[in-house]
Amino acid sequence: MKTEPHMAEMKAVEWASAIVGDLKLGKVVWLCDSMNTVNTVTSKEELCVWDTFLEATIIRGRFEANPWTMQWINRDQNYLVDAFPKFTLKNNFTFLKFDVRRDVISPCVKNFLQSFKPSFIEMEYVSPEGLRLDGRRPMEMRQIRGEIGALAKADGSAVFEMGNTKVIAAVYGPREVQNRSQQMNEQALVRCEYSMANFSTGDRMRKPKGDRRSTEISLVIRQAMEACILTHLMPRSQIDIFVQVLQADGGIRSACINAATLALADAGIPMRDLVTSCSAGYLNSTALLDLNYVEDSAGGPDVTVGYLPKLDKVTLLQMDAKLPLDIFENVMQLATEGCKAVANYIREILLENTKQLESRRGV
Amino acid sequence: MRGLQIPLNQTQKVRLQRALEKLESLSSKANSNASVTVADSIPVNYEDGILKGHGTSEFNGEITATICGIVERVNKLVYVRTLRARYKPEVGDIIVGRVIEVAPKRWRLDINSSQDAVLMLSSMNLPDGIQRRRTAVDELNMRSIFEENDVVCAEIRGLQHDGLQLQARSQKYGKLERGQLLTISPYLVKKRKQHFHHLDQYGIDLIIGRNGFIWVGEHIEARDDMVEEQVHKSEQHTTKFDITSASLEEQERTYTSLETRQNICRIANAVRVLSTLGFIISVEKILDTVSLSSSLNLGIHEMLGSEFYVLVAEKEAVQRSLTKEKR
Repeated sequence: MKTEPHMAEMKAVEWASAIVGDLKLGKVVWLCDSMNTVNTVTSKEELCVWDTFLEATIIRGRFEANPWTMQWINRDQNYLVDAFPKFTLKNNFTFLKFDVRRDVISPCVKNFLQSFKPSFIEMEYVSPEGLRLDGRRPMEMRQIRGEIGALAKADGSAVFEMGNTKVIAAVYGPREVQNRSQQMNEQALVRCEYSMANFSTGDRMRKPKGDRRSTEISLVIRQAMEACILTHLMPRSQIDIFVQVLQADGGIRSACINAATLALADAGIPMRDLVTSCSAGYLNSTALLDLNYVEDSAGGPDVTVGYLPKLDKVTLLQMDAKLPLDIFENVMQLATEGCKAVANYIREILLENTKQLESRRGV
Repeated sequence: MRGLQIPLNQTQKVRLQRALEKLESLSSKANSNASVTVADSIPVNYEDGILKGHGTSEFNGEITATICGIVERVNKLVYVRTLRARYKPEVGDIIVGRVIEVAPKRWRLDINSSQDAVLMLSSMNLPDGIQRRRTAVDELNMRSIFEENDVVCAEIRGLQHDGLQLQARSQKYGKLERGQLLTISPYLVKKRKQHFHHLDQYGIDLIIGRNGFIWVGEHIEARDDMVEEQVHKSEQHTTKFDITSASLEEQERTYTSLETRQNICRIANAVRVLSTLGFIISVEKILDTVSLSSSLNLGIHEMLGSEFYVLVAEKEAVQRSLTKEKR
């Protein structure tokens, strides 16, 4: 039998309403991605669509008899529909095991979520056994991997991975200053451009360039790198650092800084020390090292540290929440330890690369 | 592996791996622990009066490296020799560059350094070979000597306050035509007595610029100033230039024979192979690679195939171990 899409939607709602009625559930919020169906069910006007007249009258009757409401939801968020039955059973659940990606939720769902007390949707980031969502211990870093010389044309280039976060960095220079008015007679000009690839996030990005967030990250990376480059050795020149995120899974700033360090070292640019970076957070009253996307988007405190291991100095410290001083010190300590671990790794691969180049070159 | 983005089959992979490991073992015996990375401390055995050279700095009384490279010691001087870095100009180096701007009385050249180099009109020989003051007319005719994007060979004259100065005061310097420019990492070029090479058997000029720009072009007979001047004069005396014959002559001059072009490509590909493998570039190495390819009857394009890379690496490993045994 050939069925119209609207007809199919109405049939589905009818069956579902019968089931919901049998289960004797209380307040139910219906989410439907067909605007037509929602309008038919919720409008108070006389029915004028004849092919679905029967279904529509039945559904309307059930909706009037029960404290149910129906809302339209964007098709992009269909996966949420699966999760909402759990909300309706609000006496039974304490822990919601799905990825609450708050930036993709439409306003109507957001309102819906806010109608519950936040305590109901508090997530458990550290299980009673002391394991995090991705199976790590609180003080465990994700696997890191660095590769030097990813691009042939750049003076220095590197790929750096922290778990699923993957960043590529390219360094051009020291080269002639492009804009003469920016030329400095005493030191080099350091520039940095950060961007995210359109395919780096879960849902494809529309406008990847020039937003405030990327401008801010560019600035942060530039300042962290400029602090360690011996700019006075390269007067009247400029150094360009380009970083692009290929896969985003939290800790982007850290991965970018680590990739930039590798690329700068590869380009043979003199530096005081390697800058390494790592983030740490505080969730479920536990300090966590190297947050991933889910932990990062929990909205808890997130401390990103840029650290010079040899000089034992901090070049970058960012935190986007408040923390008591004693806890902050713990979290910061943890992040610093992470930086040291990254530094050891970076040093290892740099040394290996140098040895390889030298041995190839021969006499 | 840097730069080597060629598909290798399993046997080729293993062979390449083995050759490279051999190279590594050969060099690691020669100088162990000489490589440093950024912020590594350099042991100096508490000697007094150590001189800190390039790539080093002092921190808490110990000398640390600021770049990745190889530690070199010359008497009391300790410095770090960089591997991958831009070209650091030294006076007297022969370089190849590309003109990026024609400015008043000077050309600006890209030479893969931290700054552009400047070639003054006054620091190069005029095409007619006469020594005289440069006039405003000469300045207006600068584009007839070099234009933007021309490839030029010159020598580093010195570092003045306003940048890097070049000079081209000989017939061997000047515009390079009818050939290929290759750019490689400058650390692969070693300073030698000779940077101009005339490869007689191929009829080719090879200029290995210290800045990592390598020119492979058709051989051009170096014209002696005096002789040419005389010829020029006698020509002017005897016959008026015929326009048609001049253009024919021009055509003949700009025509490069197919064989020469193939030779240019073959040598250029040899340089490409050597530089992607990260081997030092010298005339002998290039000629060896070229003769290897022609002895195997490989086509020019096949030189960039994976098999040839493996062969070159294996040959290099054998050669180095042989020279090692001799010593």
